[in-house]
Amino acid sequence: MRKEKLKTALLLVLICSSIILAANVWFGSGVWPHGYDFFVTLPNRAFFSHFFKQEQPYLSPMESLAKPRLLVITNGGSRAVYYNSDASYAPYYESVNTFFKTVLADENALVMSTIVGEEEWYDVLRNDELLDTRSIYISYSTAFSPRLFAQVIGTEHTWLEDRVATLREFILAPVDASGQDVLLYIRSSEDGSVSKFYINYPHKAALYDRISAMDENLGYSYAFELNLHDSMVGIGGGVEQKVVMDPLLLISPRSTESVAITGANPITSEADMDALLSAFDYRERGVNRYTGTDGTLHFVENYGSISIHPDGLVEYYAVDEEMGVNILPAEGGTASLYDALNGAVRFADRVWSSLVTDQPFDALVSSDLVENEQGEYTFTLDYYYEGTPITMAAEGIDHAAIIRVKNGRIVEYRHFLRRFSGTGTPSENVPMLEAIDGMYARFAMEDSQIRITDLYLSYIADNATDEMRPVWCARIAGRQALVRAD
Amino acid sequence: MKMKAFIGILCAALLMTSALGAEAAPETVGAYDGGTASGLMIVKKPETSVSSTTKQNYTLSAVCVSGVEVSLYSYDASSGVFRLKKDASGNALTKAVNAGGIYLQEIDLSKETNSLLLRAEYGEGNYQHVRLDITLLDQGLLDSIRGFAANFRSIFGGW
Repeated sequence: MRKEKLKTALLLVLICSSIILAANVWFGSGVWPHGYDFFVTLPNRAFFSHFFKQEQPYLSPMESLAKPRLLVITNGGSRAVYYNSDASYAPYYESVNTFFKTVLADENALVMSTIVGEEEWYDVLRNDELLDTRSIYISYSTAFSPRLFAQVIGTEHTWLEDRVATLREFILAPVDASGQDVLLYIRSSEDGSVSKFYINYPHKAALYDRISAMDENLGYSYAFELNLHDSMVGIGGGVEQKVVMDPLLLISPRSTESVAITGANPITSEADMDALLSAFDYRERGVNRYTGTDGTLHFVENYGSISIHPDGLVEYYAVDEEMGVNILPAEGGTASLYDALNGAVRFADRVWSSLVTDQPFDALVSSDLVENEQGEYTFTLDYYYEGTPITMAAEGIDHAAIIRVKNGRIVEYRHFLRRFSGTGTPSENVPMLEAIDGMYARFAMEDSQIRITDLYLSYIADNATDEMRPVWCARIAGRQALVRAD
Repeated sequence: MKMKAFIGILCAALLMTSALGAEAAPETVGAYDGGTASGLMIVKKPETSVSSTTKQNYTLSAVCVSGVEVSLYSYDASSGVFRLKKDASGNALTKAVNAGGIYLQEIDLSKETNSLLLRAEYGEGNYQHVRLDITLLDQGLLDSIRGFAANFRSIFGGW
C-alpha cells in the first residue's frame, strides 16, 4: 500500500515536470526562430495578449516628442532663444505644456477664433518698435496632425481637430496682466494660413509673470525685424540684396560657443551583438549567420534578416511583411498614427538601450506626422546633442534611424548606431554672417540672389569618429540638399 | 648719402601713412558731409532716417555692395562733428562687408535721441553717408500708453 502511494507521487512529479519542460520549450524565447512557431507568437494574439501582457517602460524619445525644439521668449526689449536641452528651457516648457494640457481638450476654453493675415503673426513676435510685446514662439521639429498632437501632450482629443490641418508653429501671447485672456496663434505648415484663437486660461497670471520675468538678451532678432526678408523698405537705393532670408530666421551678430563631441560605434563585442539580436527577438540558435566580404554580419531567419555593418549601421528587413516586428500592444489591432509612432519610437529606444544603458536615446522624429489611411508610415529620427542636431553624412545614411511601419509591424528598419560624447572643450562657432558670406560665395551663381529658408548649427557625423564641432548648415530655396558653410 | 637715405625713408613713411589713411575710416566726419557716392548701401533697419524704439539694445542692418567697409559714427554736439564709435575695448565699429553683402551692428542706445551716421566706403574717395536719428523711448511712457489702452479695452469690453 505504501509502495503504491510512493509510485503515484513519483508519477505525479514526473507528469508535472514534463508539463513544465514542455511549456518551457513551447513558450520559451530561446528555442524557436522568431515568427516560426505558433506558441512563440501566442502572447501576441489578441485573445491571449491579456494573459501575457507586459509592462512597457516609459521611454524618453516619446516624451521628448512632446517637447518643442525651440522656444523664443520675447519680453519687450528682451529676447531669449532656448533649445530643448538648455537649462533655462524647462520652466518655459512647463508653462507651455500646462497651457496646452489645460485648454486644448476643453472646448469651453475657446472663446472665439478667426483667420488673420501673416502680418499679425509677425507683429505679435516683433519687439523692435513701439510695440511692447510679450510672447512665446513655439516651434516643433516636426508637423503633427491635431489628433496626434493631442495624444502626444497627453489628452485624447482636441478642438483643434476641426480647425487646423497640421501643427508645427505656435505663438502664445498673454496680451496684458489683467483678465484670463490669452491669444494663441497657429500657423498651418500646409498653406501658411494663420489661425488666431481667443482662449480663456485660468492660469494666465502665472504665464504672464513667467514671461515678464525674463530679462535675458542674447542679441537675437528675427530676419523680418531687420528687414532682411523679402522687404523693399530701407534708406537708399541702387544695391541689390544678395541674400534674402526666411522672415523667422533668428539672427545674431554675436558669436556663440559650442562643445566639441566625438562619435563611437557602440557595438564593440560579441555580447553587444547578442544584445542587439535579442532586441529584435532573434535567437542565436534559430538563425543562419554568415559574414559578408566587407565584414558585415548577416543573420537570416525565416521571415526576415538583420545586417550589422562594421560602422554601426543596423538594418532589418522583413521578407514577409505580415511577419515583421509587431509593435502594437495586441496583434490584430488597428494601427493609428499614434500607435505606429509610439511603437516605432519605443522599438528604436529598445534597440538603443540594448547597447547603451547609461545614456538616453537623444533623438527627435523629423518626418511629418500626418494620418495615413493605408496604415503605412515611414518615420525618420535624428540625433541631437544638447539641443544641437547631428546631421548624418556617411554614405547612404541620411538619418539616425528610418523605420517603415505597415499595419502595426516594422517591415524595414535602418539605425545608424552612434554614441556621442562631449569632449568638454568649448570652442567659438563661426559667426553667422561669416557663414552666410561663405555660402553665398560658394553657391550663388554670378550676381544672383540666394534665399535662405533655414539656417542652424549642426554637428556633421560621418563614418569617422574624430572630434566634431558644429558648422552652419542652411537650406537654400531651389536646392534639395543641405548646404554647409565649412 | 645720409640725406638721400633720410629722404627715402621719409617718402616711404609718407606713402605708408597715406595708404593707411585711404583704408581706415576717418576719426571724424563733418555734420554736413553728404558723401561722394550713392548705391553702396541701403540701410534696412531702421527703415527711416528718423525713428523711435523702446529697445535699448538695438541692431542696425544694411545691405551693401560686396567689398564695402561700413563704419558707425555718433554725433558729438560739443565739436559739431560725427565721431567714429568705438567698442568697450577701444576698437572702431568698422566692418568689412563680404560676399553676402549684409551688414549688422549691435549698439546700446542712450536715452532720448541718438544721432548716428553710417559711412560706406568703397575704394579711395568713394563713400556714402546715411544719417540716422533713433529716439529711445522711456518704458514708463509706454507703460502709461499700455495702461490707457487696457482701460480703453475694459471700458468697451473688447479685445
